[in-house]
Amino acid sequence: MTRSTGSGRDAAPQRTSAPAAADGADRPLLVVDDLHVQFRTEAGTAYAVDGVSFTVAPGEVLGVVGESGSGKSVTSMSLFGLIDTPPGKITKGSVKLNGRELIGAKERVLRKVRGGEVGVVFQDPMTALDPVIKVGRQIGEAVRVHHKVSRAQAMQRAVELLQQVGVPQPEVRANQYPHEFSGGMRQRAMIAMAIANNPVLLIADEPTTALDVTIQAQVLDIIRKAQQETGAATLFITHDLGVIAELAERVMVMYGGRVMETGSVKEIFTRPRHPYTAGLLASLPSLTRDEAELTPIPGSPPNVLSQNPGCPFQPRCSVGRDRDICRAQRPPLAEVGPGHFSACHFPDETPQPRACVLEEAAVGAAAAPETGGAATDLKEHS
Amino acid sequence: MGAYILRRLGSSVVVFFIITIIIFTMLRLAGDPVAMLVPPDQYNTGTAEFLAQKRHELGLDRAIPIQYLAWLGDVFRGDLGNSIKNGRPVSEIIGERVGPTVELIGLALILAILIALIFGTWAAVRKNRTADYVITFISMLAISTPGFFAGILAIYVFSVKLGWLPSAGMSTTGVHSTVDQLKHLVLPVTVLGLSLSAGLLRFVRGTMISELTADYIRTATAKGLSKRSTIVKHVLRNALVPILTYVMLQIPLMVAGAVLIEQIFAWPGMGSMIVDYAANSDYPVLIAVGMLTAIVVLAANFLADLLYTVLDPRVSLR
Repeated sequence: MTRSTGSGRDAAPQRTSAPAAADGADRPLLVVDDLHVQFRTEAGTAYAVDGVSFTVAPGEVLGVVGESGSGKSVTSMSLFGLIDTPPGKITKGSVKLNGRELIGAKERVLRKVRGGEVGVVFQDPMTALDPVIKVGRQIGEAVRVHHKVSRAQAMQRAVELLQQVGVPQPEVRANQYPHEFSGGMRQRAMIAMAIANNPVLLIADEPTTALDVTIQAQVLDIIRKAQQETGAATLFITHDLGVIAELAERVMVMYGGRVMETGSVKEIFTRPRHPYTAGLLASLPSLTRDEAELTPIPGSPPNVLSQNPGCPFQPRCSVGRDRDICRAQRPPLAEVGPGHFSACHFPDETPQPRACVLEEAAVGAAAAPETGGAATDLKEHS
Repeated sequence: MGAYILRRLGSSVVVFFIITIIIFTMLRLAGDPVAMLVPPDQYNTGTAEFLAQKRHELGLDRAIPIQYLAWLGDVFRGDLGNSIKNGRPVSEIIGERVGPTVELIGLALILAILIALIFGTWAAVRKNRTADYVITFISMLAISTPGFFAGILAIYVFSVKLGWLPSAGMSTTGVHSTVDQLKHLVLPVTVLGLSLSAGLLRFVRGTMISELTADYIRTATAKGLSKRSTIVKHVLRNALVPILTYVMLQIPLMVAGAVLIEQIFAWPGMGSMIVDYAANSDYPVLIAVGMLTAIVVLAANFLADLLYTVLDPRVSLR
């Protein structure tokens, strides 16, 4: 890929961050510490994110899983000031990108981060693109915000990016409007926009949820490829455990605005140390076993309007449902193994999943691309 | 596209004819222009005969459909007829009045759009904050104030009390200067413009608020665009389609609003003329005015449809 536009400028921050990753993989790219986000609603204050801490190493793919309302999207959106304030408000916490504090940073600083160091792929490509502006120009705009290049140069870069994400006939496509694109193609355009300035961090907020199943696997492939080509660390938000098994190295499980468990994919899938994670794994359908029914987690997601003094999962938990300590005391996120943390008072009592769950989840996510015809397109363009 | 334009033009012509039939019939049924020629206190024995003869001369004793066809034939020959009151050609009467009205409405419309876009956007961005409340309050006040009252108030304050601006006409008799003409424009254009802007502002605010919550706005922010660029490059651009529709629908109401404003400021436009001739049921003049208004409205709607295709790529005309 030729980098004709503004390559000198956007290459610079990358060069400085790459050695840092090389000589000390322990120096994280992103450090989130004790993040609290509240929303004022008519029903009261919603504690959407309630003390979330995590780190992302350069180039690492961190999967964030959780049900709807677990705070996973709000967490990622509030890192760079993408939540609406009001009603949202970051009440506490720190977000450091490459050592630079972003909470309370000037809008001018945040604007440089957004689209420059951090690219975002949103959930619904149908509505995330401006309907009245040509796709190429929207992608070019992402370039022009951060680099002084002409409109023609930005357009040329947009065509390159569309090619990179496997959009056939990129010159033609760049001059079309979003409604002339299919859902999968629009999501590719979104990805092109997100990686336009070679970000160090890519946030993918349920990027495949709004797409057809056959398209999902293709888009995942594109994201993986884009991530590998740009070397960007990725925060991959999803409620699909299969996708996590396919794509991520580490997982963070969220529930009720808090982190329940975090660890490597292998650890989490094979030896979960939190009953909620175990419940999620147990509810996965199996392709290899003959099951009459799925196994749901009993109860419903927590009401984030009220702050429970104990563990948010306690009312639904098979381990802690009847224990006073779980009701009264919030379990801290404690290390239960190397790089494996769990916010549970009784991690050792976690029911263990069937042995083959990781393979099954991965198979589930990988099954689709073989059926999609356009997957061959993709290979031609890569 | 070409086929659409042709079809649309065809339907506009049909609508136009229906409008002329309705206007003609209603005006002919509504009053007797001949009776208005003789004041009631000058009636005498010969009057009835004189009026009957006059009606016959003008062809008003024929059936209305026949009268309509005769009138239509004249129109096709380029003859809009003569005023019954003073016998002057209708085209001449209207011709000398169109200019001032177009000037007044045009300038007022530009002012209204500017005010509505700027303050409507401001209120939308500051939704439920002080600026929004102040703008909303003032616009509600403007909506609830009748144009004639605002006009009289403006004259009282700026002409009578402060003496800053002239209260009537397009220029001071005997004075030929641009400054003088501009001064005469200020009050009528401002009053008409403000009264038009209030409703439009509310509409702009509502449209902008819904556009501001659209997902593509968050995408623009995530790309690193400033709020201002997002609003100018994305929100306004998207809001333009509904706003354009609204403006086009306002045009007939503007003509009605102009009638009042012209009366108050003695503006020598069509508005004050309409009142004069309507008092005499001088139907050739009134029908011509109705026709002209119908043409303007049809043309505005047609233009709006064509502009949609430019502003919104999802709209294609077939």
